[in-house]
Amino acid sequence: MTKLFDHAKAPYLLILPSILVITAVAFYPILKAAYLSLFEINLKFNVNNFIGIANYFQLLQDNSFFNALLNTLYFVGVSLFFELILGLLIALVINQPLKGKGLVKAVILIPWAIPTVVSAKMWKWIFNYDYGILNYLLKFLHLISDNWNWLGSKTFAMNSAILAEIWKTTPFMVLLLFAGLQVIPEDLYKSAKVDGAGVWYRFWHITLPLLKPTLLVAVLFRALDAFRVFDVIFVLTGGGPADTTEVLSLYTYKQLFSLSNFGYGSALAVVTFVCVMVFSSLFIKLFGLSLETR
Amino acid sequence: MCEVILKNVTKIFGKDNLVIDDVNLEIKDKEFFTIVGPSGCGKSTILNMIAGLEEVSSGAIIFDLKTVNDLPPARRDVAMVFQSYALYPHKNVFENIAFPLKIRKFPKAEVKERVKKTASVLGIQHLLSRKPKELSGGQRQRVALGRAIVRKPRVFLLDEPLSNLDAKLRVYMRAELKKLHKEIQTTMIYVTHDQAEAMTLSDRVAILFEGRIQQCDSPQMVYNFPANKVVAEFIGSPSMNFFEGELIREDDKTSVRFTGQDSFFMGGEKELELKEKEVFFGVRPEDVIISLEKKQGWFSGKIFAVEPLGNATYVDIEWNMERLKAEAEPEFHAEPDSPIYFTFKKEKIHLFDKREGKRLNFTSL
Repeated sequence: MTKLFDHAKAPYLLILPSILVITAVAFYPILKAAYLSLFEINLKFNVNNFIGIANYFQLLQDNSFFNALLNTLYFVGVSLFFELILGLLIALVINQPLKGKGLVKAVILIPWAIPTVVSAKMWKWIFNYDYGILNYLLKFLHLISDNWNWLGSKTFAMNSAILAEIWKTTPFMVLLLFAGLQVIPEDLYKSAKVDGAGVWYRFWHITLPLLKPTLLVAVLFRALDAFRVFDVIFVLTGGGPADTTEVLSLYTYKQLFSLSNFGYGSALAVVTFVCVMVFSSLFIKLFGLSLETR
Repeated sequence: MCEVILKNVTKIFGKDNLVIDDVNLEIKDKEFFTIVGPSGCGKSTILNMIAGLEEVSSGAIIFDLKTVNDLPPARRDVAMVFQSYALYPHKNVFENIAFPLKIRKFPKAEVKERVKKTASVLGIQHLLSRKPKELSGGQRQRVALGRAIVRKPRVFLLDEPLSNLDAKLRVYMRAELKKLHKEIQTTMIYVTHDQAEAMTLSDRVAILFEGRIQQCDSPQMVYNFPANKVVAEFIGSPSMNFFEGELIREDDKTSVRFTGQDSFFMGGEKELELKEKEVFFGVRPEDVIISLEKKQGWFSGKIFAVEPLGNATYVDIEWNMERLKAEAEPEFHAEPDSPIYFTFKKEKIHLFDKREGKRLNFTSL
């Protein structure tokens, strides 16, 4: 009988299924997109020419691209900042021995459990100019006198979308940070208390340093997610008004599927991919995502 | 300098979970005082209450005649060492030891000097720049001790500090702790489930069981005169042998009759004025005398197992459906199932009343 399981080859054989799946769902699409980005393709006019890296040169002169990139970075920065602070606060609260903690934990997760498209639709109603509850409440509290056009104004549209995003993804932050808090041994706090450390001292010298690995993972996860934001903006504003909420994914989508501009759209997708790659590897390098402090 | 008094201290968790039941203790200044008991008896709770990490439900904790019930841990000036050591994993040894001083905003130079001095007392001066994960169990233990003594607190609280060490190191650190106590001359309150630690280290021991103090005395007194059956069972290793028995008085003589109808003569009427009838008869393994040859008036049993330890040999004996352990000479040798004869050292016998387990005092002949 021939040896089916050669010990030297066996490990490769065993990881083969995973490699095949990853190749099919990740490597192939990425490489295909990179390949397509070297062409000028337009289905409507039946154009399919190899143009080398011309798409990328075009991209460098494309104001819409830079507008989308800046919008995306703003979206990432602001939403992440608030998610982090809110997430940490809530995680710290539910990490305390309180009554009804289980219920609070379950309730907090609800926004995360709702599909983004559904919650975005809901927020669209909340922000509605004529019938939205936000305008109603603000008027009721005498904070505004006239209805505000949350999604239609250049000033508010992006921030409104960010608010909807924060509402939806803070629970994820809470969950991650709460898990991180729970592995900090109780004895460290007890010991610090006996040694005379107050609440703030304990937070800065124990909680924060020991939560750092979790915080970094959470920031990385959320930053990458937010960088690829699509659905919430697509539903709420569709990129408007006047492209003030146009983000990279949305711009790419429009190029690809509204304008059937597959070559240029692919180039945009590749750039987004490269941004994400560079950001995550830099992040991991800089902060050393090892769990060394544990 | 600190005398610690617990006065009618009670702790109830939740609505009616009574974990500490009316505990009274007077711990003298500079004393090495140990609270020992099985796990879950409430000993760590007592320590936490002394530290201020848990509130007392009722009663008072008094440091040097001042009630400290309402003082937060920071203002009680106690230091605590935990079983897990509770070292800060992100700080190195120096920073760990300096932590309590930095909180109190000591000048940098003094912090440095005190940490160095403490480290040299504990023999860890070469480890100051290491992180806790780069240390062995024994070294971590020393760092934890260092963080406690660097502050010169009024009282040390030690919560099972040696339990995470391997057996050899534990015995070694035991001696180190004892020496350290001599050197720093500060009240130490030590909690352990290990009766050997309690016996070897302490000036006095309190045995805690189900939230109540069973006995509080010197190790010798606790060993030789256990106040009740619980203490007698807990202190001493291997533990005391117990048999149910009945006190029988005939003419002028009192004996204990065991369930197997054997009986043991205790003494004359004058010496034994005991009202109880039903008793537990307790005898430690070293107080059982054995012989392979038949002797007049001795009990006869069968060898169940022989356990040579090197410095002594323990013999397990089957006797009338019961089992007892006897300590024999190191050279003792016998095959299982062979007959064996034994008796007890009369002056070393303990009697406990069967209902409450209380010690019955008597003077034997």
